[in-house]
Amino acid sequence: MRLYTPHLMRIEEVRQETPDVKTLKLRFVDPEMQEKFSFKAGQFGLYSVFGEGESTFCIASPPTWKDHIECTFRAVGKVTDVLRKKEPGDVIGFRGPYGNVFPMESFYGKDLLFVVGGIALPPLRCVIWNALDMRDKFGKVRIVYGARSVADLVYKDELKEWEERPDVELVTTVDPGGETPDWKGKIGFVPTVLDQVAPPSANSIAFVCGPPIMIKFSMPVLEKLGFQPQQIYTTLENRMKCGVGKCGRCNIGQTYVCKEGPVFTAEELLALPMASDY
Amino acid sequence: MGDQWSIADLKAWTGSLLGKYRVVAPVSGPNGPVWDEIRSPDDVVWEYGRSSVSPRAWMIPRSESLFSYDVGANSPEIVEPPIEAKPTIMLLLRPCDVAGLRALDCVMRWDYEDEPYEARRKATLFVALGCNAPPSPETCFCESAGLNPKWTDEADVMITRLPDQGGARYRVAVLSDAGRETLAGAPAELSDAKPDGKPIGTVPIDLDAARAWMRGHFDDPSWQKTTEACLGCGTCAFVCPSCHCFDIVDEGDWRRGERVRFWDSCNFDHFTQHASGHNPRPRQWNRWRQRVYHKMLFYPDKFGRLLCTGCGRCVEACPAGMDLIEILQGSAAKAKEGAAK
Repeated sequence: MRLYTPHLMRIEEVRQETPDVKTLKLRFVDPEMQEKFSFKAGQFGLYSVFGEGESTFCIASPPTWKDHIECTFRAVGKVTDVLRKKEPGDVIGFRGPYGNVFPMESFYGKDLLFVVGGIALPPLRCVIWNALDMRDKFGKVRIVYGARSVADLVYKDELKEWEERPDVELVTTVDPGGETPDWKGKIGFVPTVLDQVAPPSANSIAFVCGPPIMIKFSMPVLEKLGFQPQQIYTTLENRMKCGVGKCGRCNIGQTYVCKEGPVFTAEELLALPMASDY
Repeated sequence: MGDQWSIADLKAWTGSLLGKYRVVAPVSGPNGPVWDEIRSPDDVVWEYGRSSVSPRAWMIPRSESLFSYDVGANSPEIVEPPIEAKPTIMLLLRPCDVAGLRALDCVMRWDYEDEPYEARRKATLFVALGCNAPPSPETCFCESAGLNPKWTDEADVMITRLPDQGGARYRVAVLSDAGRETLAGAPAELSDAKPDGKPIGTVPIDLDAARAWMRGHFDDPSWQKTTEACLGCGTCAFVCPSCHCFDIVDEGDWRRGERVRFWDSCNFDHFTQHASGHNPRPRQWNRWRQRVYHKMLFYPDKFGRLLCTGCGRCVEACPAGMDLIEILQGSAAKAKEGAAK
């Protein structure tokens, strides 16, 4: 099978996360492929809807789940608009896994802090479950997750599960005005809530993923808490076509996000020419 | 006549290749020479300067089917087309085009194997023809881009034109084992003699100075001004020997069709635009700056060679008069002004 030829995957289950966000549970049509497929936290794939093309999403399930993968996407473009209409039993294409990984082994023994906004939870959900599935390897697991409104929170069942687990500290928040009468979480923007929660930075790794504005205002808070740029990880999702370092579209300076990323430390990001536009 | 070849000798040799190889050479087109497969040595435009469009399409076709799909049936199917990679000779490539096509290797071969490219790459031999004078004195700047227009070691066979003596005379050198095979029945002798190293007078640019200035001035406000005439038409990328960016598009419907790779250009506004509407290079000048930086700094930093060969085609072809030479010369001048302060 050639480089750009996708594997066929069958949709096992479709979950509506928010009005415009869906999660697909996928299995390879070829059982042998399902058996031998492996990936690591942080990697992504190119998902095809035949006739429309390919879209790039992270693999939103952890590598510790062996019998299927999941992807979560917002229907905003040409491909995702058709993908959202797919039903269980339908066949789509998948290429991957591509890109670098979160170096999970190097986090052993450390606390993990997740600072997440909106639809950016899927790539970190992979890391969260990866860590929870090997729970004794890590210290405290803290999650600060916010969305514009209660309706925009994804993985609601899992948020509930994390909330109930004694070994996870979860704080959820919605933007002012986005709350419902029965909302029990916080009201406020993620950086503000992060500041209130004030998780310690010693022996900790922070994962930050969300809209640019959330990242921009969360960084100074993390800095204030004592996080060094090499302790902070994020994952980028530039537009991609090939996913394998050839089509030239995801470049930031000399960096190919599809190969040297999508996972970067804040230290690595600071070295890229992306202060404003690139 | 010893190691001096006449046009008749070149034609006889080319004729001897035709059964064994697909020979691609400059042939007469509506707007000057274009690259095409020849059927006879008489098809070749033996005296040509520079083709207006580079021969890149023979290494990365303008469009190429990656596979066809039929997913409507109960057993969904993907069929990859056979990879067409006949033994091919690219005849009379100018050294700048040899450099341009070789520069593609860096990105097309640095990690994952791109099977169709790889197959063509392995099946293709380069026969180069040196320039004794710039084919386009106003736009050729290969010497400023570090090339020797009279010679390239990156070809398989190198042809040098000698001063005319009652007709064109050439010397032919072999540079690789594959090249030697093509010359088994050569009508005249081969020669190792290299032409003198005197410059041929292409447009001078102090590229080291230009690159040095660019390195510290990605955010310099002058980029907006120097590039604002760009229309975003992509012609520069279309004629370029080393532009390699591509798009992947489905042609067909949900049931049957094919996935096709097409040439693309970083100067198109949708190139980096996310589905959300966010575009990290929102304005045309961001895109033009990317093109210059990618060719002059990013690619060399990453892969160790320029993504520009100084062929000058983009300068000649731009409908808006965007002039890479002027911009590089301007950058070099700013480097000198900075140094003088």
